[in-house]
Amino acid sequence: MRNVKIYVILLVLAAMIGYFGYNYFYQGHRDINTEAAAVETLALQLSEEFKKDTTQLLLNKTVIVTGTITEIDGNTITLDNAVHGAFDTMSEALSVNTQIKLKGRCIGYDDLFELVKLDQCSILK
Amino acid sequence: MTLALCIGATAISQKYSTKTGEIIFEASVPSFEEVKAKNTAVSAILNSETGDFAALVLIKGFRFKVALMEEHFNENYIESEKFPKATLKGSILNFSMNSIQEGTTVFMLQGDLTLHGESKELEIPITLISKNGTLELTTHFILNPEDFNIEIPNIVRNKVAEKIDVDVHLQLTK
Repeated sequence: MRNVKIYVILLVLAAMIGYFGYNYFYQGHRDINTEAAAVETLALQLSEEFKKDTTQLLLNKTVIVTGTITEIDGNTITLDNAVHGAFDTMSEALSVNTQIKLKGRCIGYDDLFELVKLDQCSILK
Repeated sequence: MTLALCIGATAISQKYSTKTGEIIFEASVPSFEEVKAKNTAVSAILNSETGDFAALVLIKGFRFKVALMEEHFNENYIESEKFPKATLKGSILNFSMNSIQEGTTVFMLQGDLTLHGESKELEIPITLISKNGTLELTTHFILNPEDFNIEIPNIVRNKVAEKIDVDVHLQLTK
């Protein structure tokens, strides 16, 4: 009888370790779309911040930027020639010269093109 | 003044570039979880006059299938907070637009690759194909993490390959 109890306890423990272990290893990705933004600013202002090299403060953070679309290339757009945003899937038709509010994850500053790059973008209404 | 503007304009038109190039790297070991990531926001510029080439990739832009792997890659191995980008600066040897038009497609790219704060000289074969005014650059090479001072802890040593396969695909437009 005592043995059975021990087996049951061991089994429950093993199941718990398995369950939490699995959830730890296969935890979900961040959902930038629903995450609260750390900063809300203008596209030009964001790139100024990066030129000042305060990169660390914004790197990997969710940001919201307002700007005018200056270029559309595949599933990416450029705002005010300062911020480059990539969509996982671009759901709506966008056109150059319209002002939008863009939410995305800041992945760093591209000094070849002098652009702040965002990924996993979405458009805010 | 006008002349200066004209020269400026031609200099610009000699540049082929992309902001949405693709890099995939893989360090998988059979029968363990796939170690593979993709970045689709690679910036690159090729000067078709001189063959000078520069590319930049933001490390945080590498996406893995497993979120925890992405976190460990960024925090423990490549330390992307400290070293947010990798760059390659160099030139394509014996490059000329004419030779591409005449059918030569394989060139050698020589340059310095900077990753994780360490630079290393690299000489790799690249393929260039000219198609409807764009230049398609593809290459595959192998990197050794030790060359860039990237340590793989013993605990995962047998789950991560020692050599890392890197595939690059750039669609360069004028």
